[in-house]
Amino acid sequence: MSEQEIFENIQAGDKKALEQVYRSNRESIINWITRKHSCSLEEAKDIYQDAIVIFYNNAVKGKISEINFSISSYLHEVVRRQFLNKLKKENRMSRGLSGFLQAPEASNLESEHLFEQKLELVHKAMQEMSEACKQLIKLRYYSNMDMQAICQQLGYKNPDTAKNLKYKCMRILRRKVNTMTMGMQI
Amino acid sequence: MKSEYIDMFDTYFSGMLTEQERMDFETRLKSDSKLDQAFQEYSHLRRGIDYSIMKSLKEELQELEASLPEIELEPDVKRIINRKTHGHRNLWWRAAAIIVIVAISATVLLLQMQRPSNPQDLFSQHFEPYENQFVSAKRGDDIASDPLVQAFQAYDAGDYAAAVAGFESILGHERYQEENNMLLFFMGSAQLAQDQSQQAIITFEQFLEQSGEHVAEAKWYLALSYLNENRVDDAQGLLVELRSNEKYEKEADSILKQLK
Repeated sequence: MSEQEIFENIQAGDKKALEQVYRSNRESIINWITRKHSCSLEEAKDIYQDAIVIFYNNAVKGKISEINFSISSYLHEVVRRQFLNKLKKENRMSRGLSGFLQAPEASNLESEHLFEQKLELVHKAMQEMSEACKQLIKLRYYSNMDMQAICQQLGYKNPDTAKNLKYKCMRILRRKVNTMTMGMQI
Repeated sequence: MKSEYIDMFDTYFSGMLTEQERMDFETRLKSDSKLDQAFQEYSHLRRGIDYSIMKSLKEELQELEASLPEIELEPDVKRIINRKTHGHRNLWWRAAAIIVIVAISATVLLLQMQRPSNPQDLFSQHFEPYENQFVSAKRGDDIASDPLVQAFQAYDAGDYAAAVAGFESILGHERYQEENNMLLFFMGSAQLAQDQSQQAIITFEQFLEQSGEHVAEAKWYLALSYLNENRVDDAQGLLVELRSNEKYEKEADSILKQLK
C-alpha cells in the first residue's frame, strides 16, 4: 500500500492504517526524540504517541488536505512544534493532548488546570455512555459527518431517527457532566 | 439543552453560516444570556468530545506499544538514557560501557553509511529556527509601534506567519537599512519554519549575495532548504563546505554520510 493510500485510509478513520504508521515509524522517531531532547525512553514514547494522535486528529478533521510530504516528516514536525509550545510555556511540562486542545481564553495556570479538569470530566462521562451514543457522537462531532452519512454507516432507518438519537445522547452527556461537576464541588 | 439550540450550535460550529448569519448569531449570544450559557456548555462538550476520543486513541496506542518488542536503541541514544538513569555507576562499568558503545556505534555508523536517508526527513531532523539573540523586546520607548520589534516578538513566540509578514513589510525601508540583512536572515528562518523552503531558498541566496556576516549560518539553512526541496546535489555542495566550519562540521558530516 502506498503512503498516499495509507493516508487516505487514516483520513477515513481507519485505525489499522494508523497502527501501521505507528509501527513503521516507531523505532526511528523514538530514537530521534530521545537523542534530540535528551529525555527518557518512556517520555519519548509518550511524546511519539501524542504526535500519532495529533496526526490522526488532523487527518480525520481535514486539517491535512493532501499529503505532499512523507508521514514521517509530518510526525517529526508535530514533535518539534510540541516542544516549541512547551518552551513557550516557560519550561512547564507539556500537557500533551489537553495542551493541544487549549482553550484560547485559558491563559494562566489556574484556568489551564480547570480546563484540563473539565476535559477529564467529559472524557469520564463519555466512557459511561452507551456504544450507540459513543459511535454517533464520534461520527457527528469528531469526524464531522452529516446525518445522512451517519444514517448509512450506522444502519438507522432515516436521518430523523439518527437526529433524535443525537439530541438524546447530547442531553445524556450534558447531564452526566453536570452531575460529575456537582459531585466535585461538594 | 433544547434541540433547536443543538442544531443552531452544530451549524455555527460547522462553519456553514454566511458572514451575516454568523454576525447575527454572535449578536444574539450577547443579548440572550440563556442562549449564551447553553452555547458555553455546548462548546465545552465539543472540546471534551475531541479530548475524549484522542485520549481513548492514546490509550489504544499505549496498549499496542506494550504488546510490541522493546525498541532497539541506537548507541548514542543508549548513552543518553544511561546517563540519565545510572549517572553514578562505577568507573569500570563506565569504561566497559564506552567500549561497547564505541563498538556498536562503529557498526551502526557503517550501516547508516550504507543506507541513504530521505532528504525531507533529514531536513525535519536537523532544522531548528535560528534563535533570535539580536533583537530583544526592549528597544527604546516605542516598543509597541516599532514594526521590527513586533516582527521579532512574533518570531520569538513561534508565530512565523506573522513574523514573515512583519519582516516583508519593512524590508528595504530606509529606516531599517542597517538591519536589512538581519531581517532577510530571520525571514528565511521563519519561512523554513513554515515549510516554505522555495521562498527560503530565494531569501538565503539573496542574503548570501549581499552579506559578509553569518555566512556559515545562512549556508546551513540554505542547505536544509535544498534538502527539503529534494535538491540533493545543491545541498551536498554546501554541506561539504560546512564540514570545515567548527559550528556545523558534525551535523554537516552526519547528513552527508546519510545521503550517500
